[in-house]
Amino acid sequence: MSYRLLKPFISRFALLSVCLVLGACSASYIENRQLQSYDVKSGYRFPEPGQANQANSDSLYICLAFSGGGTRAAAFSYGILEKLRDTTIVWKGKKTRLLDEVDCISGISGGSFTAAYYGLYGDRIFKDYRSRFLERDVQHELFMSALNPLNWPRLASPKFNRIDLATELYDDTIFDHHTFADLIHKQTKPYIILHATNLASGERFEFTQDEFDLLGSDLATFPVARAVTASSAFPFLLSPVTLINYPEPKNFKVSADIENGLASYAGDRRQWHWAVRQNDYLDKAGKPYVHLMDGGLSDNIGIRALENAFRWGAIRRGINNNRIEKFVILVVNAKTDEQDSISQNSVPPELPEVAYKTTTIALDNYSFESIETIRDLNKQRKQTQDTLAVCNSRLKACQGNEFPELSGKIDPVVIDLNFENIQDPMRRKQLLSLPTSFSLSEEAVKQLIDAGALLLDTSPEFQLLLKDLNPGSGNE
Amino acid sequence: MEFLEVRFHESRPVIIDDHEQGKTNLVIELAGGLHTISLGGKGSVFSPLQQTVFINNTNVVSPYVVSFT
Repeated sequence: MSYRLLKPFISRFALLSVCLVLGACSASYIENRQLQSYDVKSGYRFPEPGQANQANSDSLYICLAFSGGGTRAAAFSYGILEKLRDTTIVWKGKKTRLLDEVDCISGISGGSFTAAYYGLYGDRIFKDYRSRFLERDVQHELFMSALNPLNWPRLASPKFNRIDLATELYDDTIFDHHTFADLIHKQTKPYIILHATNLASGERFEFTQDEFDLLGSDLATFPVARAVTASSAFPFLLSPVTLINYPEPKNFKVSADIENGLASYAGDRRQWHWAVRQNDYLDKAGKPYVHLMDGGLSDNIGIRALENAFRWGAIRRGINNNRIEKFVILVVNAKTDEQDSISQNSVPPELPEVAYKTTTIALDNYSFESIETIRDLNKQRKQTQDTLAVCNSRLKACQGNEFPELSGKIDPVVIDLNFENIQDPMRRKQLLSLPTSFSLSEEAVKQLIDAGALLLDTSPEFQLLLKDLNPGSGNE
Repeated sequence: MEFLEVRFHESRPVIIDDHEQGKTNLVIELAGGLHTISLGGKGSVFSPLQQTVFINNTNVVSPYVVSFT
Protein backbone atom coordinates (compact mmCIF):
# COMPACT_ATOMS: atom_id res chain seq x y z
CA MET A 1 0.00 0.00 0.00
CA SER A 2 1.42 3.34 -1.07
CA TYR A 3 2.15 6.21 1.31
CA ARG A 4 -0.42 8.34 -0.63
CA LEU A 5 -3.21 5.92 0.33
CA LEU A 6 -2.10 5.68 3.93
CA LYS A 7 -1.47 9.39 4.36
CA PRO A 8 -5.04 10.38 5.48
CA PHE A 9 -5.06 7.59 8.06
CA ILE A 10 -1.60 8.50 9.30
CA SER A 11 -2.68 12.15 9.59
CA ARG A 12 -5.78 11.21 11.53
CA PHE A 13 -3.85 8.82 13.75
CA ALA A 14 -1.28 11.53 14.39
CA LEU A 15 -4.04 14.04 15.18
CA LEU A 16 -5.74 11.55 17.49
CA SER A 17 -2.41 10.83 19.19
CA VAL A 18 -1.78 14.54 19.71
CA CYS A 19 -5.29 14.95 21.13
CA LEU A 20 -4.76 11.97 23.42
CA VAL A 21 -1.40 13.26 24.62
CA LEU A 22 -2.75 16.80 25.11
CA GLY A 23 -5.86 15.51 26.83
CA ALA A 24 -3.86 13.17 29.00
CA CYS A 25 -1.44 15.95 29.89
CA SER A 26 -4.08 18.55 30.73
CA ALA A 27 -6.82 16.44 32.39
CA SER A 28 -6.77 16.40 36.15
CA TYR A 29 -9.12 15.80 39.04
CA ILE A 30 -10.78 18.70 40.89
CA GLU A 31 -8.30 19.99 43.43
CA ASN A 32 -9.36 21.12 46.87
CA ARG A 33 -8.25 24.71 47.48
CA GLN A 34 -5.83 25.97 50.09
CA LEU A 35 -7.20 27.68 53.19
CA GLN A 36 -5.99 31.28 53.33
CA SER A 37 -6.83 32.04 56.92
CA TYR A 38 -7.88 29.88 59.86
CA ASP A 39 -11.03 30.89 61.73
CA VAL A 40 -12.57 28.35 64.09
CA LYS A 41 -15.85 30.30 64.02
CA SER A 42 -16.38 30.18 60.26
CA GLY A 43 -16.83 27.36 57.77
CA TYR A 44 -19.07 24.32 57.69
CA ARG A 45 -18.94 23.01 61.27
CA PHE A 46 -21.31 21.18 63.60
CA PRO A 47 -23.43 24.03 65.05
CA GLU A 48 -23.46 24.33 68.82
CA PRO A 49 -26.96 23.63 70.20
CA GLY A 50 -28.32 26.95 71.38
CA GLN A 51 -27.20 28.92 68.33
CA ALA A 52 -30.13 30.85 66.88
CA ASN A 53 -32.33 29.07 64.39
CA GLN A 54 -35.81 30.31 63.69
CA ALA A 55 -37.78 27.15 62.98
CA ASN A 56 -35.94 24.41 64.78
CA SER A 57 -35.84 24.03 68.56
CA ASP A 58 -32.75 22.48 70.14
CA SER A 59 -34.62 21.09 73.12
CA LEU A 60 -35.96 18.41 70.77
CA TYR A 61 -32.76 17.29 69.07
CA ILE A 62 -33.11 14.82 66.21
CA CYS A 63 -30.30 13.28 64.20
CA LEU A 64 -30.76 10.94 61.24
CA ALA A 65 -28.16 8.44 60.04
CA PHE A 66 -28.55 7.38 56.38
CA SER A 67 -26.63 4.21 55.59
CA GLY A 68 -24.91 3.20 52.39
CA GLY A 69 -26.43 0.87 49.80
CA GLY A 70 -26.66 2.70 46.44
CA THR A 71 -30.09 3.76 45.17
CA ARG A 72 -31.68 1.31 47.62
CA ALA A 73 -30.35 3.36 50.56
CA ALA A 74 -31.08 6.68 48.84
CA ALA A 75 -34.74 5.76 48.19
CA PHE A 76 -35.26 4.28 51.67
CA SER A 77 -33.89 7.42 53.35
CA TYR A 78 -36.01 9.59 51.04
CA GLY A 79 -39.09 7.63 52.18
CA ILE A 80 -38.19 8.45 55.80
CA LEU A 81 -37.97 12.16 54.97
CA GLU A 82 -41.42 11.99 53.34
CA LYS A 83 -42.88 10.35 56.42
CA LEU A 84 -41.28 12.89 58.78
CA ARG A 85 -42.67 15.68 56.55
CA ASP A 86 -46.16 14.21 56.90
CA THR A 87 -45.91 13.78 60.70
CA THR A 88 -47.16 16.74 62.74
CA ILE A 89 -46.08 17.15 66.33
CA VAL A 90 -46.48 19.67 69.11
CA TRP A 91 -43.29 20.63 70.95
CA LYS A 92 -43.23 23.34 73.62
CA GLY A 93 -46.71 24.38 72.54
CA LYS A 94 -45.71 24.83 68.91
CA LYS A 95 -47.25 22.75 66.15
CA THR A 96 -44.68 21.74 63.56
CA ARG A 97 -43.65 19.04 61.11
CA LEU A 98 -41.34 16.46 62.67
CA LEU A 99 -39.03 16.98 59.67
CA ASP A 100 -38.53 20.63 60.67
CA GLU A 101 -37.11 19.49 64.01
CA VAL A 102 -34.30 17.45 62.39
CA ASP A 103 -30.98 18.93 63.51
CA CYS A 104 -28.40 16.81 61.73
CA ILE A 105 -28.19 14.18 59.02
CA SER A 106 -25.20 11.93 58.62
CA GLY A 107 -25.02 10.30 55.19
CA ILE A 108 -22.88 7.54 53.75
CA SER A 109 -22.52 6.48 50.13
CA GLY A 110 -26.07 6.04 48.70
CA GLY A 111 -27.47 7.76 51.78
CA SER A 112 -25.16 10.72 51.20
CA PHE A 113 -27.07 11.61 48.00
CA THR A 114 -30.34 12.07 49.91
CA ALA A 115 -28.64 13.85 52.83
CA ALA A 116 -26.79 16.29 50.54
CA TYR A 117 -29.82 16.91 48.32
CA TYR A 118 -32.07 17.68 51.29
CA GLY A 119 -29.33 19.87 52.82
CA LEU A 120 -29.06 21.92 49.62
CA TYR A 121 -32.66 22.06 48.43
CA GLY A 122 -34.87 21.43 51.47
CA ASP A 123 -38.49 20.68 50.52
CA ARG A 124 -37.69 20.81 46.81
CA ILE A 125 -36.47 17.23 47.32
CA PHE A 126 -40.14 16.13 47.34
CA LYS A 127 -40.71 17.62 43.89
CA ASP A 128 -37.83 16.43 41.80
CA TYR A 129 -35.41 14.07 43.61
CA ARG A 130 -37.14 10.96 42.30
CA SER A 131 -36.79 12.02 38.67
CA ARG A 132 -33.39 13.67 39.09
CA PHE A 133 -31.77 10.72 40.84
CA LEU A 134 -33.77 7.83 42.29
CA GLU A 135 -35.52 6.75 39.09
CA ARG A 136 -32.56 7.30 36.81
CA ASP A 137 -30.21 4.60 35.59
CA VAL A 138 -27.14 6.41 36.89
CA GLN A 139 -25.04 3.28 36.59
CA HIS A 140 -25.70 3.10 32.84
CA GLU A 141 -24.99 6.81 32.45
CA LEU A 142 -21.65 6.38 34.20
CA PHE A 143 -20.81 3.42 31.97
CA MET A 144 -21.73 5.33 28.80
CA SER A 145 -19.72 8.31 29.92
CA ALA A 146 -16.62 6.11 30.22
CA LEU A 147 -17.30 4.65 26.75
CA ASN A 148 -17.66 8.08 25.15
CA PRO A 149 -14.57 8.57 22.91
CA LEU A 150 -14.55 12.27 23.78
CA ASN A 151 -13.61 11.28 27.33
CA TRP A 152 -10.83 8.87 26.37
CA PRO A 153 -8.06 11.48 26.10
CA ARG A 154 -8.85 12.65 29.62
CA LEU A 155 -9.14 9.09 30.91
CA ALA A 156 -5.64 8.45 29.55
CA SER A 157 -4.32 10.91 32.11
CA PRO A 158 -3.02 9.36 35.35
CA LYS A 159 -4.75 12.23 37.21
CA PHE A 160 -8.19 11.71 35.69
CA ASN A 161 -10.29 8.62 36.21
CA ARG A 162 -13.81 7.22 36.09
CA ILE A 163 -14.44 8.74 39.52
CA ASP A 164 -13.93 12.20 37.99
CA LEU A 165 -16.51 11.44 35.31
CA ALA A 166 -18.88 10.45 38.13
CA THR A 167 -18.30 13.81 39.86
CA GLU A 168 -19.05 15.64 36.60
CA LEU A 169 -22.22 13.65 36.07
CA TYR A 170 -23.49 14.26 39.62
CA ASP A 171 -22.49 17.93 39.46
CA ASP A 172 -24.27 18.51 36.14
CA THR A 173 -27.41 16.47 36.72
CA ILE A 174 -28.05 16.39 40.48
CA PHE A 175 -26.14 18.95 42.53
CA ASP A 176 -26.04 21.88 40.05
CA HIS A 177 -22.40 22.75 40.83
CA HIS A 178 -23.19 23.72 44.41
CA THR A 179 -20.31 23.91 46.85
CA PHE A 180 -20.26 23.70 50.65
CA ALA A 181 -20.43 27.53 50.66
CA ASP A 182 -24.07 27.12 49.62
CA LEU A 183 -24.72 24.93 52.65
CA ILE A 184 -23.03 27.52 54.89
CA HIS A 185 -25.03 30.40 53.42
CA LYS A 186 -28.34 28.62 53.95
CA GLN A 187 -27.80 28.96 57.72
CA THR A 188 -30.63 26.56 58.39
CA LYS A 189 -30.70 23.11 59.85
CA PRO A 190 -30.18 20.27 59.40
CA TYR A 191 -26.43 20.13 59.46
CA ILE A 192 -25.26 17.58 56.89
CA ILE A 193 -22.27 15.33 57.53
CA LEU A 194 -20.98 13.45 54.49
CA HIS A 195 -18.37 10.75 55.04
CA ALA A 196 -15.69 8.94 53.10
CA THR A 197 -12.88 6.64 54.19
CA ASN A 198 -9.18 7.52 54.21
CA LEU A 199 -7.73 4.67 52.18
CA ALA A 200 -4.31 4.86 53.91
CA SER A 201 -5.45 4.85 57.53
CA GLY A 202 -8.88 3.22 57.15
CA GLU A 203 -10.23 6.08 59.24
CA ARG A 204 -13.51 7.90 58.67
CA PHE A 205 -13.16 11.20 56.85
CA GLU A 206 -15.83 13.87 57.39
CA PHE A 207 -16.47 16.66 54.93
CA THR A 208 -16.46 19.33 57.62
CA GLN A 209 -14.27 22.41 57.98
CA ASP A 210 -12.81 20.91 61.18
CA GLU A 211 -11.37 18.06 59.09
CA PHE A 212 -10.39 20.36 56.21
CA ASP A 213 -8.57 22.68 58.68
CA LEU A 214 -6.12 19.84 59.27
CA LEU A 215 -5.54 19.62 55.50
CA GLY A 216 -5.02 23.40 55.36
CA SER A 217 -7.91 23.44 52.91
CA ASP A 218 -11.11 25.43 52.39
CA LEU A 219 -14.22 23.23 52.34
CA ALA A 220 -16.44 26.16 51.27
CA THR A 221 -15.04 26.01 47.73
CA PHE A 222 -15.33 22.23 47.45
CA PRO A 223 -18.17 20.82 45.28
CA VAL A 224 -20.83 18.91 47.20
CA ALA A 225 -20.96 16.47 44.26
CA ARG A 226 -17.27 15.68 44.81
CA ALA A 227 -17.89 14.82 48.48
CA VAL A 228 -20.82 12.59 47.52
CA THR A 229 -18.66 10.92 44.86
CA ALA A 230 -15.97 10.16 47.45
CA SER A 231 -18.58 8.87 49.86
CA SER A 232 -19.90 6.43 47.23
CA ALA A 233 -16.63 5.38 45.58
CA PHE A 234 -17.14 1.63 45.96
CA PRO A 235 -13.86 -0.33 45.94
CA PHE A 236 -12.91 -2.14 42.71
CA LEU A 237 -15.54 -0.20 40.71
CA LEU A 238 -14.31 3.35 41.16
CA SER A 239 -10.92 4.85 41.97
CA PRO A 240 -10.31 7.05 45.03
CA VAL A 241 -10.91 10.81 45.27
CA THR A 242 -7.63 12.56 46.02
CA LEU A 243 -7.22 15.64 48.23
CA ILE A 244 -4.10 17.78 48.60
CA ASN A 245 -2.80 18.10 52.15
CA TYR A 246 -1.65 21.75 52.19
CA PRO A 247 0.53 23.40 54.85
CA GLU A 248 -1.64 24.78 57.64
CA PRO A 249 -2.33 28.55 57.66
CA LYS A 250 -0.05 30.66 59.88
CA ASN A 251 -2.65 31.28 62.57
CA PHE A 252 -3.75 27.62 62.75
CA LYS A 253 -4.13 26.15 66.23
CA VAL A 254 -4.67 22.45 66.96
CA SER A 255 -8.01 22.03 68.76
CA ALA A 256 -8.07 21.21 72.47
CA ASP A 257 -9.99 18.02 71.60
CA ILE A 258 -7.01 16.74 69.64
CA GLU A 259 -4.32 18.09 71.99
CA ASN A 260 -5.93 16.57 75.08
CA GLY A 261 -7.00 13.46 73.19
CA LEU A 262 -3.34 12.74 72.36
CA ALA A 263 -2.55 12.78 76.09
CA SER A 264 -5.54 10.63 77.06
CA TYR A 265 -4.38 7.11 76.17
CA ALA A 266 -5.17 5.83 79.67
CA GLY A 267 -8.33 7.89 80.05
CA ASP A 268 -10.28 7.44 76.84
CA ARG A 269 -8.75 5.13 74.26
CA ARG A 270 -11.38 6.08 71.67
CA GLN A 271 -10.63 9.77 71.83
CA TRP A 272 -6.89 9.06 71.88
CA HIS A 273 -7.19 6.91 68.74
CA TRP A 274 -9.29 9.57 66.99
CA ALA A 275 -6.82 12.30 68.00
CA VAL A 276 -3.83 10.31 66.71
CA ARG A 277 -5.51 9.84 63.32
CA GLN A 278 -6.53 13.50 63.11
CA ASN A 279 -3.02 14.58 64.07
CA ASP A 280 -1.61 12.41 61.26
CA TYR A 281 -2.90 14.98 58.73
CA LEU A 282 -0.43 17.50 60.16
CA ASP A 283 2.45 15.34 58.89
CA LYS A 284 2.57 17.37 55.68
CA ALA A 285 5.87 15.96 54.42
CA GLY A 286 4.94 12.35 55.05
CA LYS A 287 1.34 12.63 53.81
CA PRO A 288 1.03 15.32 51.15
CA TYR A 289 -2.08 13.64 49.69
CA VAL A 290 -5.18 11.96 51.08
CA HIS A 291 -6.99 9.33 49.01
CA LEU A 292 -10.65 8.80 49.87
CA MET A 293 -12.99 5.91 49.10
CA ASP A 294 -16.50 4.80 49.99
CA GLY A 295 -17.53 5.95 53.46
CA GLY A 296 -19.05 2.53 54.04
CA LEU A 297 -15.59 1.01 54.47
CA SER A 298 -15.20 2.78 57.82
CA ASP A 299 -18.86 3.17 58.86
CA ASN A 300 -21.66 2.05 56.57
CA ILE A 301 -24.35 3.41 58.90
CA GLY A 302 -23.10 6.95 59.32
CA ILE A 303 -23.50 6.82 63.05
CA ARG A 304 -19.89 7.17 64.20
CA ALA A 305 -19.88 10.93 63.61
CA LEU A 306 -22.96 11.21 65.82
CA GLU A 307 -21.35 8.97 68.44
CA ASN A 308 -18.29 11.24 68.59
CA ALA A 309 -20.52 14.32 68.85
CA PHE A 310 -22.39 12.58 71.67
CA ARG A 311 -19.21 11.54 73.51
CA TRP A 312 -17.17 14.76 73.27
CA GLY A 313 -18.58 17.06 70.57
CA ALA A 314 -21.42 19.51 70.02
CA ILE A 315 -24.17 17.12 71.18
CA ARG A 316 -22.35 16.47 74.47
CA ARG A 317 -22.04 20.22 75.04
CA GLY A 318 -25.74 20.66 74.21
CA ILE A 319 -26.62 18.06 76.87
CA ASN A 320 -24.27 19.51 79.51
CA ASN A 321 -25.55 23.03 78.82
CA ASN A 322 -29.10 21.77 79.33
CA ARG A 323 -30.16 22.79 75.82
CA ILE A 324 -31.17 19.30 74.71
CA GLU A 325 -34.08 17.66 76.48
CA LYS A 326 -35.19 14.94 74.14
CA PHE A 327 -32.44 13.40 72.03
CA VAL A 328 -33.55 11.21 69.11
CA ILE A 329 -31.30 9.18 66.82
CA LEU A 330 -33.04 7.58 63.87
CA VAL A 331 -30.93 5.01 62.04
CA VAL A 332 -32.07 4.34 58.47
CA ASN A 333 -30.23 1.16 57.64
CA ALA A 334 -30.70 -0.22 54.11
CA LYS A 335 -28.73 -3.41 54.75
CA THR A 336 -29.75 -6.48 52.78
CA ASP A 337 -29.56 -10.18 53.31
CA GLU A 338 -27.40 -11.37 50.48
CA GLN A 339 -28.11 -14.85 49.25
CA ASP A 340 -25.46 -17.28 50.43
CA SER A 341 -24.38 -19.02 47.25
CA ILE A 342 -20.81 -19.79 48.23
CA SER A 343 -21.79 -22.33 50.92
CA GLN A 344 -23.43 -24.49 48.25
CA ASN A 345 -20.30 -24.93 46.19
CA SER A 346 -17.41 -27.35 46.85
CA VAL A 347 -15.11 -25.17 44.71
CA PRO A 348 -13.55 -22.31 46.69
CA PRO A 349 -14.85 -18.87 45.59
CA GLU A 350 -12.87 -16.95 42.96
CA LEU A 351 -10.71 -13.97 43.93
CA PRO A 352 -13.24 -11.25 42.92
CA GLU A 353 -15.95 -12.87 45.04
CA VAL A 354 -13.55 -13.26 47.98
CA ALA A 355 -12.58 -9.57 47.62
CA TYR A 356 -16.24 -8.50 47.53
CA LYS A 357 -17.16 -10.70 50.52
CA THR A 358 -14.13 -9.53 52.50
CA THR A 359 -15.26 -5.93 52.06
CA THR A 360 -18.95 -6.45 52.79
CA ILE A 361 -18.60 -8.90 55.72
CA ALA A 362 -16.41 -6.46 57.66
CA LEU A 363 -18.79 -3.67 56.77
CA ASP A 364 -21.90 -5.50 58.01
CA ASN A 365 -20.31 -6.66 61.27
CA TYR A 366 -19.03 -3.17 62.05
CA SER A 367 -22.43 -1.66 61.21
CA PHE A 368 -24.18 -3.89 63.73
CA GLU A 369 -21.70 -2.97 66.46
CA SER A 370 -22.02 0.74 65.63
CA ILE A 371 -25.78 0.74 66.17
CA GLU A 372 -25.52 -1.28 69.39
CA THR A 373 -22.81 1.08 70.73
CA ILE A 374 -24.99 4.17 70.32
CA ARG A 375 -27.94 2.29 71.82
CA ASP A 376 -25.77 1.29 74.84
CA LEU A 377 -24.46 4.83 75.26
CA ASN A 378 -27.96 6.27 75.44
CA LYS A 379 -29.14 3.51 77.75
CA GLN A 380 -26.20 4.15 80.09
CA ARG A 381 -27.03 7.85 80.15
CA LYS A 382 -30.62 7.09 81.14
CA GLN A 383 -29.43 4.62 83.82
CA THR A 384 -27.05 7.23 85.22
CA GLN A 385 -29.83 9.81 85.50
CA ASP A 386 -32.19 7.27 87.09
CA THR A 387 -29.53 6.04 89.56
CA LEU A 388 -28.80 9.56 90.72
CA ALA A 389 -32.51 10.33 91.07
CA VAL A 390 -33.08 7.18 93.19
CA CYS A 391 -30.03 7.92 95.39
CA ASN A 392 -31.18 11.49 95.98
CA SER A 393 -34.78 10.52 96.76
CA ARG A 394 -33.53 8.01 99.37
CA LEU A 395 -31.13 10.57 100.87
CA LYS A 396 -33.98 13.06 101.00
CA ALA A 397 -36.14 10.53 102.80
CA CYS A 398 -33.31 10.01 105.33
CA GLN A 399 -32.76 13.79 105.50
CA GLY A 400 -29.17 13.36 104.28
CA ASN A 401 -27.21 15.70 101.99
CA GLU A 402 -28.21 15.03 98.40
CA PHE A 403 -25.65 14.49 95.63
CA PRO A 404 -25.26 17.35 93.12
CA GLU A 405 -27.62 17.07 90.13
CA LEU A 406 -26.41 16.44 86.61
CA SER A 407 -25.90 19.65 84.64
CA GLY A 408 -28.43 18.48 82.04
CA LYS A 409 -30.96 15.69 81.69
CA ILE A 410 -32.10 14.10 78.46
CA ASP A 411 -34.71 11.65 77.35
CA PRO A 412 -32.80 9.55 74.81
CA VAL A 413 -34.53 7.64 72.00
CA VAL A 414 -32.75 5.37 69.50
CA ILE A 415 -34.80 4.11 66.56
CA ASP A 416 -33.21 1.54 64.26
CA LEU A 417 -35.09 0.97 61.01
CA ASN A 418 -34.16 -1.84 58.65
CA PHE A 419 -35.94 -4.19 56.27
CA GLU A 420 -35.72 -7.14 58.71
CA ASN A 421 -38.55 -5.48 60.67
CA ILE A 422 -40.99 -5.58 57.74
CA GLN A 423 -43.73 -7.92 58.90
CA ASP A 424 -44.98 -9.18 55.54
CA PRO A 425 -42.52 -12.03 54.68
CA MET A 426 -42.89 -11.59 50.92
CA ARG A 427 -42.27 -7.86 51.02
CA ARG A 428 -39.41 -8.34 53.50
CA LYS A 429 -37.73 -10.87 51.21
CA GLN A 430 -38.10 -8.56 48.20
CA LEU A 431 -36.53 -5.62 49.98
CA LEU A 432 -33.76 -7.69 51.53
CA SER A 433 -32.75 -9.02 48.15
CA LEU A 434 -32.49 -5.67 46.30
CA PRO A 435 -28.98 -5.16 44.90
CA THR A 436 -26.53 -2.39 45.77
CA SER A 437 -26.43 -0.36 42.57
CA PHE A 438 -27.32 3.01 41.10
CA SER A 439 -30.00 1.50 38.93
CA LEU A 440 -33.31 0.27 40.31
CA SER A 441 -36.70 -0.04 38.66
CA GLU A 442 -39.36 2.59 39.42
CA GLU A 443 -41.35 -0.13 41.15
CA ALA A 444 -38.42 -1.02 43.42
CA VAL A 445 -37.87 2.66 44.22
CA LYS A 446 -41.55 3.02 45.14
CA GLN A 447 -41.39 -0.07 47.38
CA LEU A 448 -38.37 1.37 49.19
CA ILE A 449 -40.01 4.76 49.71
CA ASP A 450 -43.17 3.08 51.03
CA ALA A 451 -41.04 0.91 53.32
CA GLY A 452 -39.83 4.06 55.11
CA ALA A 453 -43.36 5.04 56.12
CA LEU A 454 -44.34 1.45 56.92
CA LEU A 455 -41.37 0.87 59.20
CA LEU A 456 -41.98 4.11 61.11
CA ASP A 457 -45.66 3.25 61.48
CA THR A 458 -44.78 -0.13 63.00
CA SER A 459 -41.76 0.93 65.06
CA PRO A 460 -42.66 0.76 68.80
CA GLU A 461 -39.97 3.36 69.62
CA PHE A 462 -41.28 5.77 66.98
CA GLN A 463 -44.88 5.33 68.10
CA LEU A 464 -43.82 5.99 71.71
CA LEU A 465 -42.01 9.13 70.56
CA LEU A 466 -45.11 10.34 68.72
CA LYS A 467 -47.20 9.77 71.82
CA ASP A 468 -44.79 12.05 73.68
CA LEU A 469 -44.85 14.67 70.96
CA ASN A 470 -48.57 14.91 70.41
CA PRO A 471 -50.94 17.58 71.71
CA GLY A 472 -52.07 17.11 75.27
CA SER A 473 -49.15 14.87 76.14
CA GLY A 474 -47.79 17.44 78.55
CA ASN A 475 -44.54 18.34 76.80
CA GLU A 476 -45.77 21.94 76.62
CA MET B 1 -17.99 8.17 80.19
CA GLU B 2 -16.66 10.07 83.22
CA PHE B 3 -18.03 12.68 85.63
CA LEU B 4 -16.73 16.03 86.84
CA GLU B 5 -17.91 18.48 89.47
CA VAL B 6 -16.46 21.99 89.43
CA ARG B 7 -16.93 23.70 92.79
CA PHE B 8 -17.19 27.47 93.12
CA HIS B 9 -19.10 29.71 95.50
CA GLU B 10 -21.44 30.92 92.76
CA SER B 11 -23.13 29.40 89.76
CA ARG B 12 -20.98 29.98 86.68
CA PRO B 13 -20.59 28.33 83.29
CA VAL B 14 -17.77 25.79 83.20
CA ILE B 15 -15.30 25.95 80.32
CA ILE B 16 -13.91 22.56 79.35
CA ASP B 17 -11.29 22.42 76.59
CA ASP B 18 -12.25 25.87 75.27
CA HIS B 19 -16.00 25.14 75.20
CA GLU B 20 -18.74 26.07 77.64
CA GLN B 21 -20.14 22.90 79.19
CA GLY B 22 -22.50 22.86 82.14
CA LYS B 23 -22.43 24.85 85.35
CA THR B 24 -20.45 24.88 88.56
CA ASN B 25 -21.67 22.75 91.48
CA LEU B 26 -23.48 20.35 89.14
CA VAL B 27 -22.19 17.04 87.78
CA ILE B 28 -20.94 17.15 84.19
CA GLU B 29 -20.65 14.00 82.10
CA LEU B 30 -17.70 13.97 79.72
CA ALA B 31 -15.19 11.72 77.97
CA GLY B 32 -12.30 10.54 80.15
CA GLY B 33 -8.69 11.69 79.88
CA LEU B 34 -6.96 15.04 80.00
CA HIS B 35 -9.10 18.18 80.22
CA THR B 36 -8.44 21.86 80.78
CA ILE B 37 -11.02 23.43 83.10
CA SER B 38 -11.85 27.06 83.67
CA LEU B 39 -14.86 29.25 84.46
CA GLY B 40 -16.84 31.43 82.08
CA GLY B 41 -19.48 34.14 82.39
CA LYS B 42 -19.35 37.24 84.57
CA GLY B 43 -18.93 37.40 88.34
CA SER B 44 -16.24 37.17 90.99
CA VAL B 45 -12.60 36.72 90.07
CA PHE B 46 -11.39 33.18 90.56
CA SER B 47 -8.14 31.36 91.03
CA PRO B 48 -6.35 29.55 89.47
CA LEU B 49 -7.30 30.77 85.97
CA GLN B 50 -7.41 27.22 84.67
CA GLN B 51 -6.62 23.68 85.82
CA THR B 52 -5.56 20.73 83.70
CA VAL B 53 -6.73 17.43 85.15
CA PHE B 54 -6.76 13.78 84.15
CA ILE B 55 -10.21 12.27 84.72
CA ASN B 56 -10.63 8.53 85.01
CA ASN B 57 -12.56 5.92 87.04
CA THR B 58 -15.33 8.22 88.26
CA ASN B 59 -19.07 7.71 88.57
CA VAL B 60 -22.08 9.97 88.90
CA VAL B 61 -22.12 9.91 92.72
CA SER B 62 -18.35 10.16 92.99
CA PRO B 63 -17.24 12.63 90.32
CA TYR B 64 -13.76 14.14 89.92
CA VAL B 65 -13.84 17.37 91.90
CA VAL B 66 -12.07 20.55 90.78
CA SER B 67 -12.31 23.60 93.02
CA PHE B 68 -11.85 27.26 92.22
CA THR B 69 -11.63 29.94 94.88
